Amino acid sequence: MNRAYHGAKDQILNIVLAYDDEDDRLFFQEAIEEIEIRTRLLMFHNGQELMDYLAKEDTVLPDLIFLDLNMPVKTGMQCLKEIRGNPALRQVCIAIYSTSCSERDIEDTFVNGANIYLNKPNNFNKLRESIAKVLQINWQYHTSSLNKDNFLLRL
Amino acid sequence: MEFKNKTRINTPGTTYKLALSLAIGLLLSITALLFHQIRTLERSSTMVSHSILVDKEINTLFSQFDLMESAEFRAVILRDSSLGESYVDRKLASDRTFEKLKYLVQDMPLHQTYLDSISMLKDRLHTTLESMHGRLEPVLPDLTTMLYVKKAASILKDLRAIRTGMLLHNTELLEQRMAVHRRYTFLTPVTSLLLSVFSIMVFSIAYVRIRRQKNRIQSSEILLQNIVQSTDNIMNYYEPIRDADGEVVDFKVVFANNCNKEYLDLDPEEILGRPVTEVFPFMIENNELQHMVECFHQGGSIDFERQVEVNGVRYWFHTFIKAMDRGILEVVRNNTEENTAKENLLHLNERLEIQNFIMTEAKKMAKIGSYVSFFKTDKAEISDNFYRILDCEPGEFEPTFEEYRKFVHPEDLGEFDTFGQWLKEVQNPREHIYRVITKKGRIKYLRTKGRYIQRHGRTVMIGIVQDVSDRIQAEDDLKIKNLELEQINVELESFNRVASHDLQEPLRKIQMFISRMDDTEESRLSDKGREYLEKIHQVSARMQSLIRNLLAYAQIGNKRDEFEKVDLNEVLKKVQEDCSEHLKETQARLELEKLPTVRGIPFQLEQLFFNLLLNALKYRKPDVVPIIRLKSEKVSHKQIPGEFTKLSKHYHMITLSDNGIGFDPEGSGMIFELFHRLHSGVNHSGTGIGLAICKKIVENHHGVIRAKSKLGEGAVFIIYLPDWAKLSDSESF
Amino acid sequence: MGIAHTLNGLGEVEIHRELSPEELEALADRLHHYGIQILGNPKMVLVQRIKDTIDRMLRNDNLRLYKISSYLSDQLEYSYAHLSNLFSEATHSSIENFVILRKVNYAKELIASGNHSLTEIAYRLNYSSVAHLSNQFKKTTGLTPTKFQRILQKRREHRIQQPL
Repeated sequence: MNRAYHGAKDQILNIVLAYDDEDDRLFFQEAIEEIEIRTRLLMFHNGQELMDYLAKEDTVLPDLIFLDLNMPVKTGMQCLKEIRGNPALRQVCIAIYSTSCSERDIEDTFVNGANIYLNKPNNFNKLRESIAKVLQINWQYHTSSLNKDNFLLRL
Repeated sequence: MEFKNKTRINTPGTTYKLALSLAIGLLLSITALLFHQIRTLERSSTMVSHSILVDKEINTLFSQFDLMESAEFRAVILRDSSLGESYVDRKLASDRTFEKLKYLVQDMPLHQTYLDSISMLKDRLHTTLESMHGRLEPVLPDLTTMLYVKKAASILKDLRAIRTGMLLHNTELLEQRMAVHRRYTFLTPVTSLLLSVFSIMVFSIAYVRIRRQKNRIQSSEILLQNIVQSTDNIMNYYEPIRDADGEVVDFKVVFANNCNKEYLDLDPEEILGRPVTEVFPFMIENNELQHMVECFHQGGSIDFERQVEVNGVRYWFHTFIKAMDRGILEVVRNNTEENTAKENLLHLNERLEIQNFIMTEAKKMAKIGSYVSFFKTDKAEISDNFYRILDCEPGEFEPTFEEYRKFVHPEDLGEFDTFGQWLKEVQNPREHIYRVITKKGRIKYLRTKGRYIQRHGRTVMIGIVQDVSDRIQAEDDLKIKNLELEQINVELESFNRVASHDLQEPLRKIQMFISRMDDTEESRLSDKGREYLEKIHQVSARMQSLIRNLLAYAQIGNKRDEFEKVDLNEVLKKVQEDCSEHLKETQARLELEKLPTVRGIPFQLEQLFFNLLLNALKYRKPDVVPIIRLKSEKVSHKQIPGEFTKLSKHYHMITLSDNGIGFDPEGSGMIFELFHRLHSGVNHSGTGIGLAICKKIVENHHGVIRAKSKLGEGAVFIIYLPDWAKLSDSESF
Repeated sequence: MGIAHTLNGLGEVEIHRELSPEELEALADRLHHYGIQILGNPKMVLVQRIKDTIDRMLRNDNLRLYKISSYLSDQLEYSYAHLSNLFSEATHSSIENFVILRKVNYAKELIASGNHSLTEIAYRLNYSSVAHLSNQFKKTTGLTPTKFQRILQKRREHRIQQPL
């Protein structure tokens, strides 16, 4: 990992996203573009693609992974469990992006290692704000070497 | 003597008679002997004195002869005739003596011979002496006289010889008689002593015997007394009272024991001597007197039962009358208890029969058979129903272990044998279900359960066998149904999941795109366009909300989430947090009292109160600070109005009241219905599902929810939830 | 590496000479192994100091009741306004936000340790009430402290079941 000597403004967050819905990917991209923080975004269509990418040796580990829960081939939950099962990926923050409002489901995702739960909003602005908040907090955690184990955020 | 009975079986009476005869015999004989002896003694005494008398007479006679001779001699010598008178006297005397002697020696022939000689000599002497006398002149004795003297002297000499002989003989006789006398003098006292000793002995024995008998009799008497007094029965002895013709008309109480007092309240002392008809007046009524008379005449004994009323109480008496030689013995036993017991027993028997019958029928209906198994012999007794369960006739096969084994389903045989083995060893009864194939080929499930008891000193196992095929079948059916249900549930859940996601996604997208349009394309839209866009937005939002709520509603009670202990106070805290914005916005005040801990699903209870709270806030009076009060109390299930299955005796009554706009009380029933809205209007945007969800949640928790209100006076929602604290901790119901 | 240096006690190391970029990188790399970051420019240093000061203050029970603004300006000898501006510029987020974040984070730690009740934590962090703490906690994380606690606990149980 190559982090040394980065100024605040020069920091780039590596973000990876796995959504199977095209429109959702579009929204996300547009939202991120409107946020000030510099990011590098990679998008995947399903869980398997994501896991394959992460498994590659020369992959730069992302700071943030956004996972949709409902994906074909491999669901978001499966990915979550796999990622959390991999000690190398311990430092990666995982955000779950889902429609479900069930407390039980939300709790489940946290229990299985998610750091962030994002409820899919039905308003673009809200989406942008949520994402911005996520990035910001993540950035804070990152720069302040905060304990990511306790990093839980629900939006 | 008396004959002696040599047989051993001797009644005491005979022995005593024999002994008595013997004793009397002996006594008499000894007495006779004694008597004889005394007589003999007497006689011998007489004889002795007789002999002595003879002796004396002889001596007297001869002395007289001597005297006569000497007197005459003197006369001769002295020539004194005056002395001659004395001779005559003396002669007379000697004759007298001689006669006496003659009389005395009547029985003595020898003496008589002597006496004859003496008589001759005496005569000669007399003659001589007389002749001598005649010559008595006072002259000198002459020769003739001398001759006469010499003759007289020789006569006397002969007489003396006879005298000696006589004396000798007499002495002999005397000796003899003395001997006899002496003997008898010795024997007689001895015999009398013997007699007295014997008599004393006999008397002593008799006395001792009598004493012993007396003692025995005494103890028997005492025993009898005790028996009579200690018995439970009345024992009376009566003697008959006869009338002028000698007919028995009544009886006199000769003896009455204490029981009379106990049963009839009659003091034994008082009734003694009185006629029975006076003492026991009821005897005449129930013919008892008749019976007694009959019995007395016929001898033997009779008994009968009678009922008597004493002091208002009815008793049953069993009377037994026995005739004795001089009277009758009456024994009366108080049978009341026995009779009552007998009656009770009969009743009990009847009931037992009925119960038995019922049980047999019940066993038939319940398809239960019973058995008693004797382990030692591998045999058993099995009930008729047991046979029938196996589709056999009662008694069709011998109930041994081997025979029964033939019925057991081959697949279950192994387990059956193991079980049997285990039973024998452990002897601790256990339940066992296995299959049998009946005679008709039907497969049945039998459940057997036994118990060990001790019967006649043996350990046996008694048990029942129940045909539980139906139950097993039902269980199997249930399992299948359950599986089906689970299947349906699973499908429903996936439907839910899908619906929740797939239905909402498009809506969300619509919203997103609308908002995007708002942001980017707004400027290019006309006013109308913007308006329409806004409408689309609102409607989609509404649809979304509807779907969400519907799904929430459908999900309640879907998964049997486990009930846990939920502290409602915590729930309310959370709800407050969730509603915090709303509460702040409306400046609402929440007044909470302490709420109980209930059993339920935390998520749902949160939803419940969240909805209620939101509802209260939604329908607030516009210018009034909304005040929402929550309180709780415990009530009994009887106080809950309306019909519903009450699971517990106690309920929590939780009341949520607000000071909002209230609603028409007529709608209080319908307020919980799905999609029902009591207030129309834009201000009150509701989906109509919120309260329906509340109701469903409460019902899912086995409670009820009611609503009360008056228009303009706020609303009160009352939730009843069972108080599980009073029940056991098991969750299944 | 043989680079002469002095520790100055504020988490700072003064290096006595200019380092070449490669050296810098190498140093940064090694230090990073220890979780130490090299902050290049003085602004960043100050920002870091602000952060550290805030941290220190929060963790120190005795300093609980101090107002943050005054404490910061006291400690760092700049006006609070200056510090605030600098901070916002550098991190795109205000000091207040940061403070809240730190507080909530600290609360998370305390909750995670399991040894403290919410009341204690609220007190410790100078909240007027548990509700206040819950509020801020929820605002920051989207979860209530109780929820957070629950999730951590379940995570623990989960991990016990699935040893990594």
